[in-house]
Amino acid sequence: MTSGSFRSSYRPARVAVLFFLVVALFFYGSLVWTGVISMTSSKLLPVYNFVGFDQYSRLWSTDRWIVSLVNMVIFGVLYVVVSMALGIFLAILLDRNVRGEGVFRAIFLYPFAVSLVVTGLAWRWIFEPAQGVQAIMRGFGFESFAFDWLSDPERAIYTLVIAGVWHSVGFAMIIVLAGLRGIGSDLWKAIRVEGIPLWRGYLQIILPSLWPVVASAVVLLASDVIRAYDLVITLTKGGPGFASDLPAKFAVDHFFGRANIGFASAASILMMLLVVAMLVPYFWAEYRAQKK
Amino acid sequence: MRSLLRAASCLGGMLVACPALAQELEVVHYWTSEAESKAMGALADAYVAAGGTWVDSATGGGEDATALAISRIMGGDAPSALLTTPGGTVDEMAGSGMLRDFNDLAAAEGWEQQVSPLVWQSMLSDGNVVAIPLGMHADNWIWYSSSLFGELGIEAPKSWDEIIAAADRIDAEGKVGLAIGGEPWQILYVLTDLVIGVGGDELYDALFVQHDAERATGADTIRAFELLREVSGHADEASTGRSWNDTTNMVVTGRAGMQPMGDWAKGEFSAAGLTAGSDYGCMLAPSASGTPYVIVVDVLVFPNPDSDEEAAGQETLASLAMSADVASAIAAGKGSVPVVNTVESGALDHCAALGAAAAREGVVLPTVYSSLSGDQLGQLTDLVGQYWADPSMSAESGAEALAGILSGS
Repeated sequence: MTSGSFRSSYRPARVAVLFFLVVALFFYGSLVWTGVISMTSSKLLPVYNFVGFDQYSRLWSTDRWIVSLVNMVIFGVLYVVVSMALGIFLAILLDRNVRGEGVFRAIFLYPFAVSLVVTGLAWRWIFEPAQGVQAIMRGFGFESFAFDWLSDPERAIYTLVIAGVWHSVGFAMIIVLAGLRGIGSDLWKAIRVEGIPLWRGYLQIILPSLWPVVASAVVLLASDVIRAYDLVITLTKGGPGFASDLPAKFAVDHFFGRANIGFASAASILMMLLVVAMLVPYFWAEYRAQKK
Repeated sequence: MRSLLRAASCLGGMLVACPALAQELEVVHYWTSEAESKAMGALADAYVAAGGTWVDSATGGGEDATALAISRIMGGDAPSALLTTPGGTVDEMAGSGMLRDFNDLAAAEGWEQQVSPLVWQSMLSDGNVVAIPLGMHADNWIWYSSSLFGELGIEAPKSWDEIIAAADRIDAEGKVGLAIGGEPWQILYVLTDLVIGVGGDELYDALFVQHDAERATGADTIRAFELLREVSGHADEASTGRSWNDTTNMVVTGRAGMQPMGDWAKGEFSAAGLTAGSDYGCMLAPSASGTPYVIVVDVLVFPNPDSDEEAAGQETLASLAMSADVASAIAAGKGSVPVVNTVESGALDHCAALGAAAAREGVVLPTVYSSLSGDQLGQLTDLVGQYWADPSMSAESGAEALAGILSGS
């Protein structure tokens, strides 16, 4: 094989170029096309009858869109913050060389292996007033026990948070735990020599040094928030009414069920802008870190 | 039975080569409840008996089926047939040349004479026969448990006041008086029932057919919204997001008294082995005037075929669906009224006969699914869902929002 060395010298570049072409075509191509469609009055089929920003202004006067955005903020903040806080806490507990660590790790990580559809259905049964927790507690004799968040427009969104956190805590835990395992013994020795209490050691020294790990976990969890669809479809169906609707469900409903692709494209473009807005601080921080 | 069907299809469809080749048809549909799949099974059996190969593509719901079919048509991999309801979507698909027509077959087999004028209208788009009806439903029925009514000594109610009184009586027994699945599309049917209850066919026609925004803010429409609020107070706490067939099941098992729902619900009663008229009762929702029959037609539409064989298969299926035997088998499975006039009414059960009579003698109104544009329907569905869930929303603001939707396109 005389040409072996020659081949290996240019193949990676060729593969990379091909990869970027595919990404450019399918990802950015779709993005541009969605942007174009969002400027048209397309209903069932794409038509190129341009109406400017009409679809966007209609979005801002649609109650359901506003509700879904507010819900995304509530769900997003609580889901990411609670998942991370509990995940970090569990990771620290596991990091203290507990006995049977492997068992606990598996238990906490299991929910993450369950698909969001199954998660949603299981929690729907738990929250369902007529056969879930409420019915069980009433069966024990607590007649006035009420837990009907699923049918309460003010609280339905929190059922999504609970189910989502249950699903993702193990994921946050395992990433942070991996980071903790990477901390050198020198740092720990220094903390011990200085006589710093354990909780301060974690809070002020260890965790800050894990910043890249925590940031990655946050970005991954945040992307769950933007594309949260399967959970809401199975758990609340966006209800009652549209009280627990999220932007992804709004877009899918209008793309398909309501055959209004112009309007749905406008919603999708706004969702993408939200993602960009969310990622900018992360990339900026990365960029600054690299410059140092 | 199968050989009989084969003979019938050979005699009935003279245009179809007989014995037919093994033409493969892929049918995208959403009839997945027990009764519904029995109905689709009746059509599939007939097609298989006629020598074809049936490929079943069932999806979760009507919206999914349409979305799947359209994206496949656009991608060049069209299914052979799609189950849907007549209205804006079918017109738009036909208008953009996605659908084949059956003009020749319709003329040869005399379909126009076999169906009622309203069903015939539902088969047409821009003058072409593009849709094959599978059954006729009304969405304004109310179903009740005869055993529960008998036990509590309740007479079949005749007005919304009596319905609400009966619901109160059943609620007091610790059961559910009015079983309503709290999905917005199910609540929308309650609203249209109430509009008929308050203003009769005239108000329904003005609002949902003529799109008269001024009538939407009138006193009678506001009254309908007030009644909707009253009905929402009767919903049990597990109602949110419950599917229609789970809700029907509450009436089937005597845990609930009444359910307003289209007569596809009847299929669930028959699947449980109950008899119409004795084990369970049915009535068209009370009306201020006459007995309007709000018609829903299920149709198959056929994307352009890829080959002559597929085209022949589509024709076989279409003429089977239009034959009296298959039409009545579908109707028996699903609880609908057969579309073909030649089916004898002796074959119909108590409720289907009631419906057939109402469709013949009463005022037939189109369902909101075909009289509103897809966009209006979506907005209206959102509105009733929001109104139902939010008790602080007044009847006036509900009516106001309805007017806004009707004045849009």
